[in-house]
Amino acid sequence: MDTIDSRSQVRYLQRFLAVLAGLLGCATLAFVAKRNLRDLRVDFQKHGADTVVLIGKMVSRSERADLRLGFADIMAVPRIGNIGNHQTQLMSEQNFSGRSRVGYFYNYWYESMTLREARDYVAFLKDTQRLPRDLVLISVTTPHADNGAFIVDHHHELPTQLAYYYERTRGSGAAADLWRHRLQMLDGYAYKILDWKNMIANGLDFVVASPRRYRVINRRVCEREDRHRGETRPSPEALLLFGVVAVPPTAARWLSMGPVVTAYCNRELSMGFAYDGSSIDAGTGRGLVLNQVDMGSDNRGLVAGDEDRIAGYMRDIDELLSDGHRRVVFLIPPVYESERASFVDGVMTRALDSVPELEVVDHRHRHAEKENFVEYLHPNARYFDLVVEELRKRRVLPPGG
Amino acid sequence: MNFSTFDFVLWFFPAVALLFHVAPVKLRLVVLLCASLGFYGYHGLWPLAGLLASVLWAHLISRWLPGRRGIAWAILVPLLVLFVAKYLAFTLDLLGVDGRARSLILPLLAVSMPAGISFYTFQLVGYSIDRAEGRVPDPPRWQRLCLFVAFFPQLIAGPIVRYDQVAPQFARLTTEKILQPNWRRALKFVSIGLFLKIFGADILRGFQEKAARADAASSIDQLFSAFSYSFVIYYDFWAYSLIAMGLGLVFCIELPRNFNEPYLAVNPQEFWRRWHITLSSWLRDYVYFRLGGNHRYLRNIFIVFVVCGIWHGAGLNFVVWGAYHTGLVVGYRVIREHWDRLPRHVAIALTFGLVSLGWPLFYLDLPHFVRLFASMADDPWRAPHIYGMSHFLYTALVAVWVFAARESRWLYNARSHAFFDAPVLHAILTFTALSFFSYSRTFIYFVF
Repeated sequence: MDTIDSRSQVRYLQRFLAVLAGLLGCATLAFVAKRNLRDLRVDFQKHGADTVVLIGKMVSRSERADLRLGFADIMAVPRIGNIGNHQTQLMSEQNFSGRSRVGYFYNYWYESMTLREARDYVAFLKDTQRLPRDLVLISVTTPHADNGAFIVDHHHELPTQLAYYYERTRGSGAAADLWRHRLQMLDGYAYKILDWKNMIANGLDFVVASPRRYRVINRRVCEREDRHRGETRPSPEALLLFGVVAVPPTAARWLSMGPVVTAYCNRELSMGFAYDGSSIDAGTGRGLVLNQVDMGSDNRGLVAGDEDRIAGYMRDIDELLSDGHRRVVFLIPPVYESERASFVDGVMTRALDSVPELEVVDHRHRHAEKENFVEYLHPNARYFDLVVEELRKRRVLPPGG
Repeated sequence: MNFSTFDFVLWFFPAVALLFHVAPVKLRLVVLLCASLGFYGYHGLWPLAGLLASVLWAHLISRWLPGRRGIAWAILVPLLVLFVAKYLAFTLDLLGVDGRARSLILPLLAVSMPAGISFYTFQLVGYSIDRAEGRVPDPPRWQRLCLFVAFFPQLIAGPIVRYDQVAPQFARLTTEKILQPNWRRALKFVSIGLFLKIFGADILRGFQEKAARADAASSIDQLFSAFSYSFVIYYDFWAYSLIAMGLGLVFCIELPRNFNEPYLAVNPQEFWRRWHITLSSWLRDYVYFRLGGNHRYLRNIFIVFVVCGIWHGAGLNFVVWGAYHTGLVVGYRVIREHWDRLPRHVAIALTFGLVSLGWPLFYLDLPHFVRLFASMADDPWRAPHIYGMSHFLYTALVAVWVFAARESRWLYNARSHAFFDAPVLHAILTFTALSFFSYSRTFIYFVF
């Protein structure tokens, strides 16, 4: 063992811990001081079916979830809702009737929502009496989307109020379980405080007022000649921020919402949501790659026995949603791939075999229909027409669909 | 539990370190043992039961059947557990056993391979042989043997240690009243390990996998994917080993070094003296020398490398990988006179290139591996379809660090270095790694 000068070692340890604690403290302060976007209760239907909520740069995934949850708190309960991950982000009202109308369908999708997190979301909506009235689609991540990941796991990106909601409200109540949930919640906070994207978003929000980080527009604004007027100038807060750190105003302009509106109107890649919760990002330009995700054994998201967990989550969700009137359908969308068997696909198949009583639209076999994809794991609007068609055939759609 | 997770870095490790340092002298090893068993049992009790059964068996046999006659019995159960967990399905595939026969042993086939089983089995086998041959004269207490196998910093992916390397250190923990860990070295290893695990391995792995099996990948994409995997697997395992050493130092246990700048090796033989050193020396001592060493060189070296390949995974691709390295080492011996005359940089590049061409066998099965090279030969100049300038630049940065960093000066330096030994740097690296944990992946060697 090395010869150790104990005094210098203690001095080293003190400095190391002081710097680390300082950095962790700054990150925590930014998190605590920032305003939760959920509290703003942004109205996604302010301009009726013409509303678009545009998202600025440096808004984290967690914050986008907060923003959407804020609207879910106040919106009129829709007749149909889709709860799933980004694979179903393009499912919109248009798929149901070919037109825009408010109140029939709402897409509750969220980036990496797993089946387990969908259960939390459903339980939360049920307790707040905000469940869709007639039909709830639960979209399950395709096993080949990420080699089995994002199905039974937990990713801390949903708002803290939703994290482990089902276990917290309907768990056994045993002391061990309570402690486990507390630790899991701490993990969730660690992610929200320390993840670099969240940290930047929290830090910006600390300096730049929240409303400047998104904009609710009427999409008809794009038809106006003068839409650029007053839009491309950087916000005073952004100027202040970048003035302080001596970055040229171009950077401040980059942060402001003007270019985001311009990009949307120019039909360039933009991040935002339509009035029905669907994504306005058509996902074009990133390329369609066959078999993009490797199904190797070293990074599987499912293990033997997870079929029981999947089936259990599906039954829990069905139980939460069933009220004699409301229908529940589980959807497994395809990914763009050749025919390939895998361990994780087998787990999902066995899980579905064990819940024959549930309504499942299993579209994994539609993997080679190239025209239905924008990317490997993102089906396009045309695909969701097929889904609606299937729902119609199964007679689960409420009138008007 | 993975080192690069919030669970480990923010809760588990600080709690265990604190408990260990405030615990009474007599309880230090108990704290370490309980923490190690908790660490391993975190994701399942069956793997923990398998580990405990293997240790108990080795312990009992070494007491009941001392001497050489006990060796075969002592290693029987650990190897059997390893075989069932890792090689049974592969063996049935090789033998062409059909579904009906398999259904008879379905419960065994359903067992998921416990993490790190190959590592701790080799440690136990090594212990049993050392004990039988008198290198471990006094039989240790069961708890101490258990800690030797389960010590959490190196349980999952090594370094593979020998009992006589750690036994005196365990003894010190139970006698010295005041422990003074080398915090500077420990936290330096942990922080740099965490940082390079994320930035040298995990982020790059995200790139590498994009083209690993994509049909749209061009030859350049495939080549980039194959070569970037060389850095991925290196930093993944190097970082794990470094973190393990750092964590060990926090508990005043010095673990052996597992890597010595392997990609600076000037020939394949030297590569194996620098890569995964503890496995290479284990195979040398417990397999190669026992087969007769240089006496029947060709046969013995072939066996050693095939064992090395199969140790990494159950699959023909790993057997071929072992045979490939046999070819490299034997080939070098044959043309040694000419090879050694190559300029140093050429010899390093050649060795790196040859080793890198074998790595795709770690993530591709044989048909895909053959197809990879066939497709590259098919249209070698097709422009990259999947990768862009940012991917190339990032990988170039990682590569520069691999070839330019001098560990003896910056990492294992005896005299303090103003930059690389600064606590501020280590704290910033730790913090940066923490903030990129969402990119963290399971260590590749966890499945070996």
